[in-house]
Amino acid sequence: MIRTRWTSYALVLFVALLGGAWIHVTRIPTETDAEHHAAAHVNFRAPDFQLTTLDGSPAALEQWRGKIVLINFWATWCPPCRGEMPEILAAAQAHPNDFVVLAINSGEDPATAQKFAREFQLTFPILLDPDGETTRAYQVLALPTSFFVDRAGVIRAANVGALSRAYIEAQIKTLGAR
Amino acid sequence: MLPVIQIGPVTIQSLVLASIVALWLGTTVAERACRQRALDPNDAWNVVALALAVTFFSARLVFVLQNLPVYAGDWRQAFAPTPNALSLDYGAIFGLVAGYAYIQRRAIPLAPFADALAPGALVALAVIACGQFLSGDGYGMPTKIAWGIFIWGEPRHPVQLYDAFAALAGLALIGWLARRTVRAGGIALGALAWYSAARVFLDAFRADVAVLDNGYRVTQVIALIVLLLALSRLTRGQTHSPGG
Repeated sequence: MIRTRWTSYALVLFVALLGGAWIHVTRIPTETDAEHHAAAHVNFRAPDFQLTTLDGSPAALEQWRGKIVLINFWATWCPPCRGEMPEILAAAQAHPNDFVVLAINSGEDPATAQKFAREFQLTFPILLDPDGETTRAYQVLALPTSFFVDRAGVIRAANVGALSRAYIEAQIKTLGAR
Repeated sequence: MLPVIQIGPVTIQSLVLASIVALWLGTTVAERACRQRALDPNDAWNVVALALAVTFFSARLVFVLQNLPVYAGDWRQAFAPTPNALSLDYGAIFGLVAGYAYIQRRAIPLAPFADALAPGALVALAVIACGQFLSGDGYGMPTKIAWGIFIWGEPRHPVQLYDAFAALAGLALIGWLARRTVRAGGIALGALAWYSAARVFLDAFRADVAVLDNGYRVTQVIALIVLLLALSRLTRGQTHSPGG
């Protein structure tokens, strides 16, 4: 009985040492893939893009480096996109200096996007992605899809579906504190 | 990779779909196991439904509490259907506590019931791992091995598939255990020990994981603690067995 008990203690101790050693040997550096690779996924560098705004100006993600960026893919025919726009607008207006919304219209013509922007009185940049190249680069398969990008250009949160004002504010708070 | 699945006019995220399938399949397996053990099969569904409801409710509640100043201005935002506005880690803890409370309240014998839930849990874990493989979540470390999959910019360990195989192997293990005379609770502890050991080993190949300041993966540390607890319990049972 005593021998059996000590055998079981020894087994647990052996597993603890072996497991601990394995965890120690296989630990990873805190600097991860994010600093090295661009991919449309959380903890990776946000893929850069070159698009044009509604007024024809060129727009690249790179130019907003240093700010918290919300990349929002949308279309006028998408009801949840319509639902979330006032929420996004309110958040953008509450943080005019530190937070940028890049609303990327996916696959529609400028006139349609313009009409939508006027209807909702959107003040943030509306970017046009008529051939869907950036939409594909971000692997967006459902609208709306949003990515929160931190000041270093790394995606820290992704959301498929409509955003709420509170969720946006929570992300801004998290990224601001980073 | 197949992050979303189109079913007619409905687009659903593959991980969400896999989670739904995992819950249904896992609970169905647990229900059958309850019948085999002369336990009430409805309890399997009840405990899963309760744990799930409490998990989501408390996950939202904790998220709201964590961001109270944000929600204070407009409390209706707490009910907004934003899927990511959840603190699922905390929610899962509350869900487990609620499930345990249900078992206690209904005076369900814990050890045989845990044995009945174990195969369903492993099935559910395997399905969720496959869902992660489709969605690209829980991805592996970069590798040059022949079976590496190209995901997020480079070939990586298909660690989600390793995870699924480990869960299914655990299922085979407890199937083998079930054919032997094992004390009540032995099957659940065996499943727990096996899967925890697998996660300690396999998560070394996982990149998409929370990491402590010193580089240790949180999942490996938790899995090792669970493994040691399960082993202690298993071996204690052996030393206290009749005539031992």
